[in-house]
Amino acid sequence: MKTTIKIAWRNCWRNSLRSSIVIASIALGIWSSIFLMGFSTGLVEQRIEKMVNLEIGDIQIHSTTYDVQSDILSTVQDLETTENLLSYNPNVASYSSRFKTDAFALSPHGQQGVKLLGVNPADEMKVLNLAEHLEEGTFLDSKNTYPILVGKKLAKELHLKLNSKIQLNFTDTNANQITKNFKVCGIFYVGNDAFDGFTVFAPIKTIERLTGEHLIHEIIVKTKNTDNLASIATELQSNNPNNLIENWQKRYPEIAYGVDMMDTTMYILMSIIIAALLFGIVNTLVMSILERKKELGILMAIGISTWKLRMMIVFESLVYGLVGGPLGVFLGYVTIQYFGEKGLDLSGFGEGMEAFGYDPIIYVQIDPKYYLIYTSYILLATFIGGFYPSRMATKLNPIEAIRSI
Amino acid sequence: MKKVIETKKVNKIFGDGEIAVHALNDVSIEISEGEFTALVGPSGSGKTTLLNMIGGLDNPNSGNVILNAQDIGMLKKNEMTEFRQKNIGFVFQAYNLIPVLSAYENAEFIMLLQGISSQERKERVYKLLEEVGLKGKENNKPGELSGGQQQRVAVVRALAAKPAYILADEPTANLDSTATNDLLDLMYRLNQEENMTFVFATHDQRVIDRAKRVIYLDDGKVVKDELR
Repeated sequence: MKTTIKIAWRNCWRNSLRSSIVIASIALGIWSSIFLMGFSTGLVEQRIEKMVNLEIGDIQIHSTTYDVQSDILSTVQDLETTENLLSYNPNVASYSSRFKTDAFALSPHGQQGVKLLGVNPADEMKVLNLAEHLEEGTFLDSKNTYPILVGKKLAKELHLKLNSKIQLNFTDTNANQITKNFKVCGIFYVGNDAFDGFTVFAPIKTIERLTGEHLIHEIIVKTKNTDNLASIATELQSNNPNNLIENWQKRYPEIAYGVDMMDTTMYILMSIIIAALLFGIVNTLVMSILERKKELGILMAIGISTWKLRMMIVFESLVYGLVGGPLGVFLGYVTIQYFGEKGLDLSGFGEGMEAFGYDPIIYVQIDPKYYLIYTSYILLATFIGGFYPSRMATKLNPIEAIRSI
Repeated sequence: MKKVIETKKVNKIFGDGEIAVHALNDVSIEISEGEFTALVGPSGSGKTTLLNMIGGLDNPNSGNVILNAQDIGMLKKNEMTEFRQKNIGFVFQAYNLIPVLSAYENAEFIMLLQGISSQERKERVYKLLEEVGLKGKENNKPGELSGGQQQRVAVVRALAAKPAYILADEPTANLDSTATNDLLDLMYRLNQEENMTFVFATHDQRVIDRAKRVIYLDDGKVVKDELR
């Protein structure tokens, strides 16, 4: 077997240019797969991180009717009990109780339907990092009686600046119209048009002054450990049956599915790339066999067994994988490390990306297990790739092969 | 004398119908151990076809080929491959060494397939390479050797595994006079000293002149069998 491997290895380097091209194509294929995987993972993970830390929190609590009615009457049930439950739960780091309703915002330059969030600024800042994403002003820390925090996109559309006036219209629990002028105390920017353009924050005390009620429609929760959100949510739910308590994955399944979809897409892409590489390898080996039919005929004539001949060709295929695979993985690793640290600046496409909530700078990342998976796949592929050419070699007629030029 | 090769009414037809060519026609020969035999005839006479039959590389349409007391018609493909490996040494016209292996590695290749120990391989190959004048060329690849040197390596490869007999198809066709004579001297000496059996398919008069038995073929038939 040692000699068979030796012959296979040397055969690979008889036409070093051709072999180098095959190996380079394998390395390039693996590198591109790893890079794409790292890019997609970075893109999605950053999107999720941004959403969880700036917009939605780890766990959300709503009334069981909130998703059905979605009106101002759908408030969190047993509020005091629920808040106590959260305060004493060892897994909960912080929470913020929110008033949440649809409102209409007007300025002298335009109008826009918005989601009005009434929050306790101190509590909200413990759950979300929005205060770190203020472009101007403060996080509702204003001496003004009616301060409001707006997103950059909304500010642009309604031509708002710090201290600009904006009128909000919404209804109270008795269906009375509430109309009030607020003054912009801060402008935030998270890079998600859906959030920056349609969300406004006001102090909950201000909202209570206008509605005359303490209405909480949503509680967002930050946990100490994000690895087992589902079990924390389930535990909270079991003690609070009158509300709906969901981790973000359950609350926003489209985002969670996005992660699964990305994985699936990457596996499909990887399969396509490996299949393309496989054809390249088979093609190269078939050419190589046709070129040395005579030599193979001699080997058969002098008594090499079918098994050893097959193994020799399979080893030749494996050599390509053994050299090209790790090379591609190494290049992929280096690229991931570099762009993981420096980030891949796509600000040229930033506007389009931000419309969907993605950062213009992507910090590529990959689960290290994929390096092993890619290496295994390419080795398996090259092993399989040797089967057909090896079968072709063993089907040669030794006499005809020896006579061939 | 022990019979190592025997053919009984062997027929070989290539093609079908009107284009069928009767390459061998009821060929019956016997070759015993220690013979130095040349199969001679014009192109198309059937000498290479007969050599392929007694080399176990081709099967007859009818008749029997008995090699080393084994009717090879009874053997399966893998069994035939193993039989060739253990019993037959081949020397081909165009040397046909494995280009990626050195002279030493080419020479030991069949012994490797046979599972002979490293020490024994080394002893046999170095001895034979020295005998054929290739001492110091052990690590040269075929491309670094002359035609004559390559053919000598091919002979060493065939001999080293100690086969029952050696078949050589036009072994001198690509060699100059000096290389031809050197090669024939080597094979003749091995025949004389080791009682090694050689069968040549050739139309090289220099080979024919050295043969102890000449079997003449024409149109697929044995037309003359001359013992010298």
